[in-house]
Amino acid sequence: MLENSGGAFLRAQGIEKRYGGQTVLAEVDLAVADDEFVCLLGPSGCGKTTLLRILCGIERADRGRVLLDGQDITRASPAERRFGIVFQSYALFPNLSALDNVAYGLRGLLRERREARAREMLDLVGLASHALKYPAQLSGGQQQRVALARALAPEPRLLLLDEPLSALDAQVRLNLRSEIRMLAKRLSMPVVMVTHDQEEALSMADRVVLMNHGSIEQAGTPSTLYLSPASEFAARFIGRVHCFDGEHEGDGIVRVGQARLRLSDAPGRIGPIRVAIRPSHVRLRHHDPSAERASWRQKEALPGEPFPLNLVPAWVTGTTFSGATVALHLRAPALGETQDAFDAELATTPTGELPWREGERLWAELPAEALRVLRS
Amino acid sequence: MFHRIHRAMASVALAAALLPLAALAQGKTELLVYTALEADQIKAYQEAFEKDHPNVSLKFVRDSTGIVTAKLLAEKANPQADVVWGLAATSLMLLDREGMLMPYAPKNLAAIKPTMRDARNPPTWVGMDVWSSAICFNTVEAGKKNLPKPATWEDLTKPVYRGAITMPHPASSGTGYLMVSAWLQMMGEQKGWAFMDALHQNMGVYTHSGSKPCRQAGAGEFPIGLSFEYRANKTKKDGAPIDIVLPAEGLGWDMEATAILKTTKRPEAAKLLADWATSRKANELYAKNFAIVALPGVQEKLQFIDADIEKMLVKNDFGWAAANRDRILAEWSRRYEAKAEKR
Amino acid sequence: MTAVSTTGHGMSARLDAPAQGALGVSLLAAGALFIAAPVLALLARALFDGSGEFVGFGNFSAYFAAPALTDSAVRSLRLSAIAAAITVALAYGYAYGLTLTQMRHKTFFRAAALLPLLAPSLLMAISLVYLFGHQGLLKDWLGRPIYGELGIVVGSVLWTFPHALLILIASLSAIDARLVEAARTMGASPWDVFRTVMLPASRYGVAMAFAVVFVLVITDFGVPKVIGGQANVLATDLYKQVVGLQNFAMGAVVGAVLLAPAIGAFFIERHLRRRQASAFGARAVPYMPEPWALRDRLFWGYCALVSALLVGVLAMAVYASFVRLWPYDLSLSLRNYDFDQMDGGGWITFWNSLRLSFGTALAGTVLAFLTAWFVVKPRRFGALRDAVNLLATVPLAVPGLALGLGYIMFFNAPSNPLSGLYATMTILVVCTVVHFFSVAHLTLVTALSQLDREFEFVAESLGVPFWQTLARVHLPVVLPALLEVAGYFFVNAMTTVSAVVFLYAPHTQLASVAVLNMDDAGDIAPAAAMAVLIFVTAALVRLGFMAVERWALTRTNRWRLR
Repeated sequence: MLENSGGAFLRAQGIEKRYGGQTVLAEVDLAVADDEFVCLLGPSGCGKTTLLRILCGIERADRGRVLLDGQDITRASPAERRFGIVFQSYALFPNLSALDNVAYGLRGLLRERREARAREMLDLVGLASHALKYPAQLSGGQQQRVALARALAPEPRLLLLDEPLSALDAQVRLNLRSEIRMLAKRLSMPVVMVTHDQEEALSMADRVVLMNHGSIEQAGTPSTLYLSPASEFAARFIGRVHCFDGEHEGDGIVRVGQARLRLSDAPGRIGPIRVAIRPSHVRLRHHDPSAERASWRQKEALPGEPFPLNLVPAWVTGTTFSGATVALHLRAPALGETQDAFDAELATTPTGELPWREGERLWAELPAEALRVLRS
Repeated sequence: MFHRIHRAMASVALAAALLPLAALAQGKTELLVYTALEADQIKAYQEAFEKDHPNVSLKFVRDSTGIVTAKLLAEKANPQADVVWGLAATSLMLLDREGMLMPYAPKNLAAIKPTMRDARNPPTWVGMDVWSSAICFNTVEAGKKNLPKPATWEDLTKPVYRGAITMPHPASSGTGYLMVSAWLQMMGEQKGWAFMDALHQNMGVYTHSGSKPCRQAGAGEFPIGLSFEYRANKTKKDGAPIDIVLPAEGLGWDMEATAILKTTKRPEAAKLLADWATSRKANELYAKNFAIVALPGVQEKLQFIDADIEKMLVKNDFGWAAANRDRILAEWSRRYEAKAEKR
Repeated sequence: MTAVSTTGHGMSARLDAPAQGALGVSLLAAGALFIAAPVLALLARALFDGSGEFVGFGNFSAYFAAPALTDSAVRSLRLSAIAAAITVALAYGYAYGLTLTQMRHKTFFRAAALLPLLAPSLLMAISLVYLFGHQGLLKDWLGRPIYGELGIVVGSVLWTFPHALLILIASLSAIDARLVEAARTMGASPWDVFRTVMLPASRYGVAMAFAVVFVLVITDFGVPKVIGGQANVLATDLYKQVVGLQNFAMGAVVGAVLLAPAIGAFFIERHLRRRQASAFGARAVPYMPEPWALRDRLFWGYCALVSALLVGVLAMAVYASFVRLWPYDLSLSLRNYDFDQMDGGGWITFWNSLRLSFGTALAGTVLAFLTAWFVVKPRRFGALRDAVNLLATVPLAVPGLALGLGYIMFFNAPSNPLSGLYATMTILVVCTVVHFFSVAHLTLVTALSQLDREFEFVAESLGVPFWQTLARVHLPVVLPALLEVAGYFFVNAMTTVSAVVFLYAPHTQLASVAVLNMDDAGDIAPAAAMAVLIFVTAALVRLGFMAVERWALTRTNRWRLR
């Protein structure tokens, strides 16, 4: 992890912040490499915005240090830090044209140079033709791009984005996500972005820092967070997940109700354990009604007799269509009374037909490589 | 020492405040003059003086006699005025008692009537003119209300005039005070207060200014206004339907007079003004407004006043009037204050 | 693009904190010097006698022992309450018509009702003398002269009407359409809707308007002076003690007594404003009444009647100012405008008033803008900003008479190094700015609070010093509010009497004071003429400001258009 490498460009160490009696940030460490796109992700109130404000100097930490390129900037003013900042509200000056907004922070240059530089920046965000428009004449997405250009114009050492996309329409948001990321990459600009939208974080960041209750829950690449959540919070916050309580019987075999699940990485300890699986990783298999019915009935009828490994009988209780995917709501009494309901997510077929109908019985497979052991 | 510094600072500040740069550039001396003269008189007097003395310009603070007096007394610790020009002699005598006036014999002093100056030599104040009480009687309103024209002070106490009379408040108006003082001297204290008790019953309102009763009579607001002869003459001249009544028992009067403040920073200019105020030219101007002036032989008749006012003046002991002013005003306030007009 | 070598992250923004701190400290010092110190000087003076001996509350006990003076206090309270009740009742119907009906000519009615704001309170009283005095045009209507308590109440109602109206309009406009619709869908009759939605929603407004008018009346002395006859009130007592008798100690006592109801009303109003703000969230949907012929005509009739009354009274004064000799020679002339022949101080007073008004508008607007900016925007200096904000709202609770008196006490003390200011135009400007500061301050605080909070952070992160953002962004964006504030300062400086009446010097006499003095000397027609002149000037300047605003909006503020 980067925290252990010496090459961090921005480094926050032991940041603590309290408001009144409440701890907002507790012992937070963060490092950002010099071309890294880092997202601070978390629910509202987790401290991510406070951390961003401390990084950019609007607020002071009660304890801890902020280092930039090895220099201590804990007490430096925002101006001295030379960071570019983009806010959720854009904060464009309404009485200045897009061009003047972008040129606002360009000081100490001749008029022509300023204007040329501002035009260059507008061009970069694809708004060259809107240079003379006022903010009120631009769409939300265009305003956000102007704000971005304004922040980038003075060549900041680091770009800080505070929920930059949350006020935009869904489609605009999608487009801007990749645009911002590409821009950052093109400029080799280190970026710290705050967001509460996990999809946004996953699609934009090189590294996601997941925060909860004032401390860092887990940090890592988007796929690490999605595929290997370290905690139930991480698992539940990013994507959908189902958790099952069971008993580790040794050799990586976990008993959940009547079902037995094999894990790919076996934990050392024997005893109670919690495992998780994402709905999209559940696989389904047809029941062969004629051949298998009898044995299935038989198995069901004999408590204590185990099902095949990683398989559990279930039936479809309903479906939810959501565009690209369809969720099948399943019920598997064999998993135990309080955890017998879960979903399986399937890709929508071109015809929209589903291989299973409501009420149909099937086998649900919870593959070993898809099951994760959660820290509780 | 400390006091002197404050004084100096205050006067520097005042000079900075009061002297326009233009005046400084021209080397003009500016005198701050406190006065109870009427605004319409001040303009003529000021123009005539400044024409004769182009190096001295005058700034006036004008208000009713009582107020100018109170202001001067209140500023005793830090007087602002250089000269008082046109304030009741009784008021000047109060200031004199406080040691605020500078004894000075103006150039034309020898020619001034001996009764119209401070008796001491050099005098602290010199008279300008006499102003005396007069009644403005609105003939149109009187006709409508069947009011008989009064001929004497005593007439005014008749019930027929209930609510029809106004007079100036003696604490704020010199005209008011000279009437009260004359009644008390003329009738004796006991009868004088009894007369005023009766008059009070008919009083519509006590005004703050000595001119207002006559103006109100002229406008018909209250048909009878106890005022003074200059305002009566002027109001009639302006076209108001009034008769001027000079009550037969005699007229209360006071003198308008000039004095220099001991504390003036510009004694030379102040003396110029005091000299000019006693000059023939000045007296001729006074005579346009008042029947009796300080210089013998410049008398002029007022257009609408036929009688020989000088003969009708009551015997007036200024010393008594000044010495008893506080006591009389307190008594007056005790008896009639409830009806005094707001100021 | 990496070739750009010079970057915008300059070091000049480094001076932001010290510069803002210096601004805050200067504002605080100015507030302490020109707001707090005079008020404290007034209160302190009430504890000393004429010769400077400390007498504790001796002056107060002397005051309350004098029956004539306590009479005035009781009468003041009574008349102010009556006048406030009538004004609020009349204005409520008018405000209702303007906000919650679809009657015609709303713009005209609104403008007509606001006219009295442009004239000194004296003008209404002078008009009443011409209408209902002994020689009044309509004296038979009343059956008795208007002088006395009746005159004070009528005159006060006339000039405070627009003040109550503005508060009630604001309050009625805040009614939530969703509540009205909810009531309708549940089958409520119009009367039920009024009783259950409008009335409860406007009760804070009513109470606020009552408090404001009450204070305006109890601290006004123009009306009682002109038309009060023999009815003494607190404000005239104060004036008489100070100007008439030069008794500053007793004047200070009356001033302190006057301070009490004003401060009380200040806190009541503040409390009510918070209640109203919390009761009506920002989410309220404005209510648009549907046309309803009967109601709309009724309100049209009512508003026509009230506005005719207001305009008629004003017109009477205008007419009377041109009459040669009321009531005997009704031919028209300009004689009453020959102010140089009158006791008031002449035409110079008018030019002085113009100077004062321009000075006040300029200085007041600049100061109010800086103060509001300092209170709203910087994120440092929390305690300092609170202190500045508190001081800026203090003048709202200080009656003009008390403020003016405090200024004498404080600045005329020979030991005060600033006594050089005394008797200058500067002190008149300062005092007038302070007198009307709070409303201007609150207006600009509201305007600046509506701007994006992040502007400062953006500017700071870009390394731009705060004053540059102040000039390039905040100033243009709040320009309409600034013009509004400048007009407010101008008009009030033109019409005010209360604070400046103690402070003018021979060369700084003012037109509004001249109205008072001419009326005092019985020159009522010239007094009317001067008041009319003030009114016309104020109206023209207001129109001028409106034109400037329109010009500015179309020419320089293209960004406001979509």
